[in-house]
Amino acid sequence: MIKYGKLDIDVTNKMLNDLKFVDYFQCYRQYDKLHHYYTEGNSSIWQMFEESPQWVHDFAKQLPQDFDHHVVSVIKIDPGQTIPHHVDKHFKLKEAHGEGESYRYLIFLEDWKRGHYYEVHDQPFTKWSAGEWVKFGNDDWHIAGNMGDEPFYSAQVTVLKNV
Amino acid sequence: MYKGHVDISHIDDEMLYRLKFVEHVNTVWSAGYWDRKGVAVPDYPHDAPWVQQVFEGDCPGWVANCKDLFPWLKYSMVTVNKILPGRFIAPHTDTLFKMQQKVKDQNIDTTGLSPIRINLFLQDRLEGHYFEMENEAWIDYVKGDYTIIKPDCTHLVANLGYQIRFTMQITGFAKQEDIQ
Repeated sequence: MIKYGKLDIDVTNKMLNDLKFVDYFQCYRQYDKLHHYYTEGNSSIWQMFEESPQWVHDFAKQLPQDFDHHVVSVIKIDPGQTIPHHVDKHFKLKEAHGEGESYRYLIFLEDWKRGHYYEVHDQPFTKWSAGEWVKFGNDDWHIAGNMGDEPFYSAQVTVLKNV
Repeated sequence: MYKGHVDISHIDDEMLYRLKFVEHVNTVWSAGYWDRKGVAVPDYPHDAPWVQQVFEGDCPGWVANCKDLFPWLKYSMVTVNKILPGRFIAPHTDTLFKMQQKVKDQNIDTTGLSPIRINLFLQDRLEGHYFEMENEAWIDYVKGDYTIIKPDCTHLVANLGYQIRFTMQITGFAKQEDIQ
C-alpha cells in the first residue's frame, strides 16, 4: 500500500551542494524492453549510502517508528536522466538484519521543480514540497526522472520490520 | 491549462507504428529557449533529448484528416511526434517557425487571429508518459484529449516509460473566442 506524508525539514542549497557523491552508476534495467531503450547515457544517477551526512540519518527519527532497522541513501538525478521502471528488493537491508517486511520512504529534499518526475504504480506524482514522502513496498513498480534543468535530489530511508 | 477532447477512436496503434518519421531532432538547444532565459544550456546526456517527427506532406491521409476535427483552426499544418522511452523534448516555447514561414510565403492575412498549437494525445497516457506546461502537469489524459499551446507557454514532454509515445501537433491560427 502506498502511503504519503510530510517531514518538517530545512535542507538548504548549500547542504545539497556540499554532498560529496562518489558513486555514479547506470540504473538496473529489470526487463528486456528497458535494455532496448535505456543506456548508460540516459539512465545513470549519483547515490550515497551510509556515508550520507547526519542530517540525512536524522530523517529516520522523524518517520513513523514502525520498523526495527533502517538504512539511508541520497540520490541526485542530473538533468536528462531517468531511473526506469523498477522495483527495489532491499536485499542489503535483509542480508544484514534478516527477513521481514521492508518498505522505502522516498523523501523529496526540495520543492518540485519543472521537469522533475516520480511515478509509482502508474500514478504520477508532481508538485511536491520539500519534506513530502512516499512510502512504498518491495513490489511497487516506480519511475523517477529529471527532464528539467536543475538536479533532482531525494533521500531514501529503507526500513525493515522483523517478523 | 485548456483541456478538450475529440473522437479519434479510428486511430489504432498499428497506424501509429507504421508512420515513417523523416526527422530525428536533438532538442537540447530548445530553439534558443535557454539563451532567451539567460541560463546555461543544460548538460543533458546526448542520448536523451530526442524526438522523431513527420510533417504535413510526408504524413499519410489519416493524419491530415485530423485537421478537420478542429474546423475553427485556420491555415493549419500537422506534425506527428514520436518519443522513444528515455527521451524527451526539453523545456521550450514554440517558435511555430514552419507556420510563420507559410504565412509569409503565401501572404496569408492573419488579422484578428492568434497563432496556436494543438497538442493531441494519440494514446491513453502510458506509464512514464508526461506532459507539462507552465509548471502544470497533465497526468491523466486519454486518447483524443488535447490542449492548446500558446507561443509564450513553456512546456516539455517526456517518455520515461517503456512504450513509445505518439502525439500530434496541429498548428494554425484561431480567433480568441475559440480558444478561451
